[in-house]
Amino acid sequence: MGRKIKAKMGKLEIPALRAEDFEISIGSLVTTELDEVSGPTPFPKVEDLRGWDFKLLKRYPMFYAPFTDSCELCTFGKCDLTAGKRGACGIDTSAQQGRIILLACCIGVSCHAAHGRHLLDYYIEKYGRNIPISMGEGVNIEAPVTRLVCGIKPETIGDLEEPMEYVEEQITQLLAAVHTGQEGSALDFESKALHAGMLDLLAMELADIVQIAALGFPKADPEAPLIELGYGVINVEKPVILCVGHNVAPGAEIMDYLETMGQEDNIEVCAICCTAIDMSRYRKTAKVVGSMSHQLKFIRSGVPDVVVVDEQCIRANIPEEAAKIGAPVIATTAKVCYGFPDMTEEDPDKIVEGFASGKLPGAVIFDEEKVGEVAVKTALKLAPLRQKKKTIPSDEEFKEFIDLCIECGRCRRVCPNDLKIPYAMKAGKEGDYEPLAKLFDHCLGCLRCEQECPKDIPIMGLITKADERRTKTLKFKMRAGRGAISDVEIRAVGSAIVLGEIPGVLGVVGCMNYPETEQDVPNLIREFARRRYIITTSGCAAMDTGWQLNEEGQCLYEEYPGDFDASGIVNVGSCVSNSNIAGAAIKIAAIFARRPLKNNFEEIADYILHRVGACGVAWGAMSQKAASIATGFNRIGVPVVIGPHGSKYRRSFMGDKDDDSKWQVFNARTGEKTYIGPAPEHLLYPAESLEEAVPLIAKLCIRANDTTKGRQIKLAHYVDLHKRYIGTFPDDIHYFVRSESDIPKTVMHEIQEHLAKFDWKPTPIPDPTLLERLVRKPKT
Amino acid sequence: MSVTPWQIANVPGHIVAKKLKAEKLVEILKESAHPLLIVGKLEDYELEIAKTFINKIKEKDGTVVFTPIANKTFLEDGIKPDMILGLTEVTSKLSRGWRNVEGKESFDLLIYFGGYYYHQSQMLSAIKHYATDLKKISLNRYHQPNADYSFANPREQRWLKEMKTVLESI
Ligand code: SF4
Ligand code: SF4
Repeated sequence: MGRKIKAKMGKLEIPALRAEDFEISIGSLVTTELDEVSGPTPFPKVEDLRGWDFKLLKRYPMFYAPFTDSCELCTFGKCDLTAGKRGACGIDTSAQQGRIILLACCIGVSCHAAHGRHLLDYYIEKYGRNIPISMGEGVNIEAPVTRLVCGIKPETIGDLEEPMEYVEEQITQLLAAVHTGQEGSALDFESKALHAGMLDLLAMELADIVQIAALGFPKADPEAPLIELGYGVINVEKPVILCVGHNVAPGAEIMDYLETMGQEDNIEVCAICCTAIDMSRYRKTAKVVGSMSHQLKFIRSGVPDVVVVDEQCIRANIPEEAAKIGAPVIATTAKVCYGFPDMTEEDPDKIVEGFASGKLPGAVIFDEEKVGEVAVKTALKLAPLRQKKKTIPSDEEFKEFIDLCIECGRCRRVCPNDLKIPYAMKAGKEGDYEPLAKLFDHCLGCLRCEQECPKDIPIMGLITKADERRTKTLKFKMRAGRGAISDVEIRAVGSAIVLGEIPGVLGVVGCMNYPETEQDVPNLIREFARRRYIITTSGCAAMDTGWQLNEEGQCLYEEYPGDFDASGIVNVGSCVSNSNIAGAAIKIAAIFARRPLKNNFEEIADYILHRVGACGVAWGAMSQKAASIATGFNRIGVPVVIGPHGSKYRRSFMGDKDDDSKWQVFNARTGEKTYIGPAPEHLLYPAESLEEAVPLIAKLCIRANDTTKGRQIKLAHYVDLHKRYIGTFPDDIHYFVRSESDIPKTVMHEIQEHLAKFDWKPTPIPDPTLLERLVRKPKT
Repeated sequence: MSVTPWQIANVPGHIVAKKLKAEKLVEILKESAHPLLIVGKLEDYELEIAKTFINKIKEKDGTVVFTPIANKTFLEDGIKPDMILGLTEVTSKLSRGWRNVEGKESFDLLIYFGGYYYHQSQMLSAIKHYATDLKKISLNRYHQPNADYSFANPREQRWLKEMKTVLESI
């Protein structure tokens, strides 16, 4: 179905006709409609999928842990909502939590939609609407989320405008519900949040398709190049341009300009956050510094001669920190302008002059090509003047600052990770700098400690200095983001995944707000890769996946292949590339099970929930984008485990394995209601530690439709991981054994002994669905 | 006067924890017939105190829940909990109305001990809003405003001393 077109004209005169005040309505304008039977929800509004959401939320009700007791969104407030009290508008605390979650998800999807919109408009203006969409060899389903939600098959980037408009319009509807005096039910707020999450999957897909199509990124290539990663890969002898953010357009223009001028060997271009990932998809010479926590640490190292920011997850104090090292800042999108003057129309050489003289600390340039020219010229001009001026203390200053510390502990009490800075400072006074150096990997680079210190000690600077000798030499590799998973790969592994023989597909994604260090990510991935799980990754997590070397000096991307297959580690790309992970799950339903995609969200989500053993892991989830992405995965039937900082999102979706009524489905073969056990047990869960997360992830890959062989494999991993990480045999194994044939041989006696303690009885394996309309043989 | 939360900005609202001291803790523990002790990730200096405290709770016929990481911590010492549940999992069960283990009386006191400060804070908030019948205390030295009683950020040595006094008195 296309969208309705309506035109209204005051007057129309052609030789054979004269008309005034008339309207033309065209029922629908079909452009790229998919040639298959349509499901029930084309361009769904929130109410169209509310029924599905309620089914999910009945099985996985919200568990709220309010971040604050009050609401301060309108001038009735502040209103105290503690323990059942209602605000002046009538809202209670549960609805308020749902409301804040909806707001977070709207912010998240807005970021991706606005990012995608910018890319779409920019590349349409630059190259035209007709850039063909090809996601790679063997990719026939090129836009699975778009097909599923909008029922269209985009062929050129111009075709993406319609789904983008849909996302934008729906965000407005959702955001309206957050206003005072609108929605009052937690359940309905969550349904809307789930809708925002689904829109986010779509917005991300549109954004990634535009950049892949327009910039020729690797396309579903398991052997995408290995990219240099880490502080040590940057040649500090050269002028250095640092890009920060998520939008590749300015960075790509910088590299284009360098090539045009033949300067690519004379200047280092490096980046932090997803811009780094996408720039390295554009040119393999782009270097990746690391994830978000490195922004200020790297700027203070004095290496960058100019800092170019685009959008999302950029630290708000970059201008102050860059000014201290004498590096100007170029802001490139309307979302982040930092109060700088708009120099879009200014002569590039004059801007460079302003930067070089120090009179102009930063500028906004809303012209990506000009950004390229100005950044390159500035780096060339400033590098010899700046001489890599840094704000990390010298050896002498380092000791002097340490001696100033009075061990008051104020720094620790504002540190998000509660780092034991006073203890490290005390050790430093005694000449032992190791405890300070050890904080580097735990430090999120937020600077809260420094602003609190009564002695004005540059604490993060001291931490960076203490570990400088090591960090300067850090050299890793990351496989460039490859975008889509090909249909050929899906065809090859679809049955092994659905039958459970590949024990699971993990999406290890998200930000860097780790409770301990980034090493948790490679450690977790290694554990599952060696067990033949398929690992997909993106964003900051994809960089941190590469941030570890084995004894042979190889990083995980070198140790394991990049195929979407057992033990593959697949970097799909930046945040917006997360859509490819959802796309893979959708394509399993479409290709392996031949389920129609067109406008068929519920059925596909139902399929994924009950059959595709996938689990998301966002161990350092921090942003509103992470909230909306996780919520989108939840709506499509994929559970997500987040780290302990994720408890501050306020809401989990948790099943109750003891309540049998929650685990009933229709058997699509008979129409009978059938018990399936708690598989997957939760939909969104903040884990306290890797000890909890690792066995839980294995458990959340269990699905109702596993074959007995598949269930054996999954249970064998669950039991083994539980023993290794928690130290005991899992006491809930009886929920997951449907028949004797499900029991893995390696732990048969233990499981049988365990079952004997319970009133365990075999249960049938149905053709599971929550959708009564999918029952093939209605009950008589 | 209210105490500043350990993480200074963690101010939830106007209903905040009262300052916990050894005498008060002894009184609360003596009053409780069926405490539930939830042990999460602990710091090294807390371990010895934790071992004794766990035993005392068991002697009182209380219920001890270890989170997965706590279970791993105490494995070598052979200290076993009544149940292993995630910090989020056990709190969610409590917020849904879980009040006792089979064959035992209802809990009349929740004691949170361990877990990252901010994670414990969130869990106490869930109890504060959704399990209002339960008295809840935080045993770590870090002040948790979402508890009913919580220590007022004493230094390690001071906290150890207070806890030793408590352990000698119960
Ligand atoms: S705030 Fe400053 S003086 Fe106080 S302990 Fe931390 S570093 Fe030392
Ligand atoms: S900069 Fe690092 S040490 Fe300082 S408060 Fe932030 S995370 Fe903690």
